[in-house]
Amino acid sequence: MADIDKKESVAKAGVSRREFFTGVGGLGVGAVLGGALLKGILLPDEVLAIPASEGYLLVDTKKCGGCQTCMLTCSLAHYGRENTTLSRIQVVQNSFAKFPDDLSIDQCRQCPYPSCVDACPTGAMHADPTTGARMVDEEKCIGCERCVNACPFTPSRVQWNHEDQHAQKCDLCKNTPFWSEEGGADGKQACVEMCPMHAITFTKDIPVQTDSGYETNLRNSHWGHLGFPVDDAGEKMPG
Amino acid sequence: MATGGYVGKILYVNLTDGRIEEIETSKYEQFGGGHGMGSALFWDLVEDKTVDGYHPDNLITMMTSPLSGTLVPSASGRTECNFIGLIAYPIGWYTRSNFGGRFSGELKYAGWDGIAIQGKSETPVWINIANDKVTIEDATDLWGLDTYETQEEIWSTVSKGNTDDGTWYGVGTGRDSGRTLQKPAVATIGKAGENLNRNACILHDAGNAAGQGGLGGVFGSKNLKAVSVIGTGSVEIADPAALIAARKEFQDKFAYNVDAPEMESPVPNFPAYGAITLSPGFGPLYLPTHVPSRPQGCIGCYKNCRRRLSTGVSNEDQCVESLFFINGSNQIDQNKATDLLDKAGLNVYDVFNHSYLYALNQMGIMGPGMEIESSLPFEKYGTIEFMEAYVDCIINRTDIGADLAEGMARAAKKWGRWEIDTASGLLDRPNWGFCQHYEPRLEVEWSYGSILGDRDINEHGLNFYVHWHSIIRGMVGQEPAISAEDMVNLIAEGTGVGDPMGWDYSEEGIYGDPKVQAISWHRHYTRFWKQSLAFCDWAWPNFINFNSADGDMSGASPEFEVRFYNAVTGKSLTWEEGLEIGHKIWTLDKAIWTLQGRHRDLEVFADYVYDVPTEAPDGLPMFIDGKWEYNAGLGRTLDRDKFEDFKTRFYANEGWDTATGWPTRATLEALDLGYVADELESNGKLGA
Amino acid sequence: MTEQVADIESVVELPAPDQELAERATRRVEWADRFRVFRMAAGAGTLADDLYSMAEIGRFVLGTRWEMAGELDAKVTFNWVDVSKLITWIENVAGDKELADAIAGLNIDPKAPYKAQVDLLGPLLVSRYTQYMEVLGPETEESADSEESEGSE
Repeated sequence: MADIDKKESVAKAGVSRREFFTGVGGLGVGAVLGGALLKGILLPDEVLAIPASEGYLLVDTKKCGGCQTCMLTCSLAHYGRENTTLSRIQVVQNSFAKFPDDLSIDQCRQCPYPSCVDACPTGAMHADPTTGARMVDEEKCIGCERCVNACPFTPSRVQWNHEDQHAQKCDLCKNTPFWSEEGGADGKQACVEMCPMHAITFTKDIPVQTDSGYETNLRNSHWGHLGFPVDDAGEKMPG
Repeated sequence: MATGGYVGKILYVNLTDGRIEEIETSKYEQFGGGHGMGSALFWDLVEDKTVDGYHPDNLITMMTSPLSGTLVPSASGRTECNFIGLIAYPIGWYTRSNFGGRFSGELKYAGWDGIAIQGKSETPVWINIANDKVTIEDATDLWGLDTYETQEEIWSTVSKGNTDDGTWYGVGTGRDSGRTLQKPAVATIGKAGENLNRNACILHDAGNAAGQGGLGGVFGSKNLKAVSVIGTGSVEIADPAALIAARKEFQDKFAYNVDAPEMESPVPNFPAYGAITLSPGFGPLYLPTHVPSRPQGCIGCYKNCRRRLSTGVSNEDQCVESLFFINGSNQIDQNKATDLLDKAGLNVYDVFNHSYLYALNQMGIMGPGMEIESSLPFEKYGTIEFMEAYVDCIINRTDIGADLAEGMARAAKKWGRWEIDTASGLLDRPNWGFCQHYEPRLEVEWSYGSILGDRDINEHGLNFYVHWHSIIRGMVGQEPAISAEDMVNLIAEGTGVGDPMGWDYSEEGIYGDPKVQAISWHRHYTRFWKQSLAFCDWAWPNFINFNSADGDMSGASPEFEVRFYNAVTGKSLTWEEGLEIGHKIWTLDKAIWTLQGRHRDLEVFADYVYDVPTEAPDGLPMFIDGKWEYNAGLGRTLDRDKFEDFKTRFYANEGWDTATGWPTRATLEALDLGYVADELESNGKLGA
Repeated sequence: MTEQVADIESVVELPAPDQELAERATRRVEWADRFRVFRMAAGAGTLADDLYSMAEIGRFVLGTRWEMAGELDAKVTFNWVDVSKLITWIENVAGDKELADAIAGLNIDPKAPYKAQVDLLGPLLVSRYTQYMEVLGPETEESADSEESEGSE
């Protein structure tokens, strides 16, 4: 409901820098961009004005156990309370559907060109000067939700925090006052640390991107030993 | 901010007059949560505790715990239900059943510590909870739908936003009420519950059922089709950093490392080994998987014991319900049979004994023109066609299903078979008409706990160690990973009981004084830590670490349960204090059963337990000739007199009257339950 | 049953049964002559079941062959039979003393890990069942199979 308006605003904007990069996945173009290629060849100078993020979350949706431990951890580390709605990584599932289409993990892609940053009228949504992570300065947020609607992905990776009245998004755990570890692109990420299936990982390289997001295969032979598929598509029994 | 893990209020819904009220949680905090709170609410809200389970005054409580919806591993996702049951025989005892999934978390996020439902609607209804907005909705269009269809329909009704286009769904009208991507958590009945089957369950998502006791039939008797909840609020945690750190430490030390396990099954695709190693997807204990799948867990789990399959059949369903058609010739049909139960909302444990019916048929007793008339296709026994006909007749109350809908025990009684077949063991139902689960003549914390309580206890915390460990290792050609002596020592230390002889399952050990202490510990432990704080039965306690990286096999319990609880609540509860609350709850339950007609003379097993020797091997630790060993226990029977003597010592240990088994005033007052003593006394049922 | 087992070469072949023995040994027995077995499942404990033919027993004994798990038509379970009772049943009910003696001659240790017991027992049962089928002919095998599929295992 909340980000329905977003589609309209994207359509009105016409062809823009936003579609040039971040839109390739979310709008269904299906392009695949490699890190070196993107950084070295394609990026025009004006885009480079916003530094690339120093890190990205990768998920293996076929290894995910749907336990939402990542969500509980995210909410707790950032806010000191439990609320799946306030998690910046979202696991969405349908109990009755067939594997692997029964589940998606919706995490922020730290877009090379961040529409959310572009949309913010106050500079609250910004790239962290040291790590490049796209994040919210809560003090500057005026609650206009342009960032929420600007995110080209569905569901929006930028959320309205209704309890604290500001926008929020994944900051790679840069600002986690309720976690005793050092977070951020140069530190640890709580969801990566806590996932009991080791289905989330972190990379410094700009990942290959497809329509379904930043996917990776984190399943090794031990996973196959348990009778789970280890092929990329998750279609074959192991062995 | 510390709130004790509570969100502050309990929802009361009366379906007779449509009242929707709030009860302050604080009044019941002394009971912890879950079962304890449910029993305390039951005591206060049900004036006549002797009413039948179908009576409108029967109260259903669906309770969370302070740990629900939090990061505490395998303690976040269970919802504990209390109610007067329908299935126990000869009396439908006040009972309990819990289910996993995400209902408990969603309920907390909606701002409720639990739900209490009483009364009876004149027409079919469902309860719709969206944060603090609660409505009783017309369920006419849902009546007749199976449990999956009902949930999908309610998902669509409540939050079509997130089901249709994947966008955030706003709960409420303004943005400040919050948005979610999660579907509402729905617990519903199927046809079995609608038709008031005593063996009907409620089902949530694909495979989370509260089955034992016949809760589905209680829902049906109230014309209640389903309860749905969606929430966007927060649960305050007293010490977030401590909670995250404790979970990380716990997981690193005690969990199965999926990428580099310390101990791994010697054969691939052998999920049963997970009963030892706690590996994911181990739910299909019997069943190597034949198609690609993922592990799937309840909210906050660190194990993720079930699976979702590429067929979508038998999703999230790998506990006992997946064994319903264990005699099927292939996995595909077995999974289909599992979904038959789920969709109908039928509790597998009561309908498990189809082999008993087949035996009656082979004996020439049940079938066309026979003493028990039935046109079930027994010639197709062993095929999915038979299972379909079998389930169909029970949920529609046709053929012998008219009898079976009353439960297997009552059906056998009606057929004139109950006494003879439970004496021979042909119908192996040792306690209160419930199906035999673990061997009652050997694994006595299971059988004693059941007969001293209200149902088949279904508490696996020790069972995975004492029963399964050596059997599973042996099945794949391995010696035990830990000696019997080391095992009982670790259990004795972890429980706090101290004496390892409490876990001696030998002929002498099962009647000894240490066994009294072990059984007492088990009743108190499960009543508080497991059923009131909702630590998952398949994950806790953790007394032995088979995933140890350094050879130290000491487990996480009780240190970690206490650390987790105190991190969430800001309290400083000890393990022992929790056990004492467990004693209080267990005694409160006993008082309710006493009012219902319980007497020590009723707490006896079916005759076969005393008269027919065991035939199948077990693998329990036994102290024989001065040495500990894992022993098969073949040829064992229970001795009537010795068990009666055990009961006398057990009642005395609990502070109950040894002649009747009823709680005494002194004990009740010491547990701050003087008001319970008053009611027992006014009914002439106070222990002397 | 015969197609699912590879390692029967190591089994010492018994003298071929005659037609009468093969028919008797493979027949479906009455209730009174049923053979009791147990399945073990951690969710459910130990479950008793009754089997009514040699084919059902053979399939049951071979039920712990985990390597078959990926086959769609396969079913592997956690099964237990009392080997000494099986020997008695084969001699007295199935009427195959040679097979009963051969199993006794394996000296299966009842305290050995169950998989080790099954690994000894299974190939011998398969070998003998194959002999029955050879005597009875392919048509009988077909009808025996279809009859089995209606049985309890």
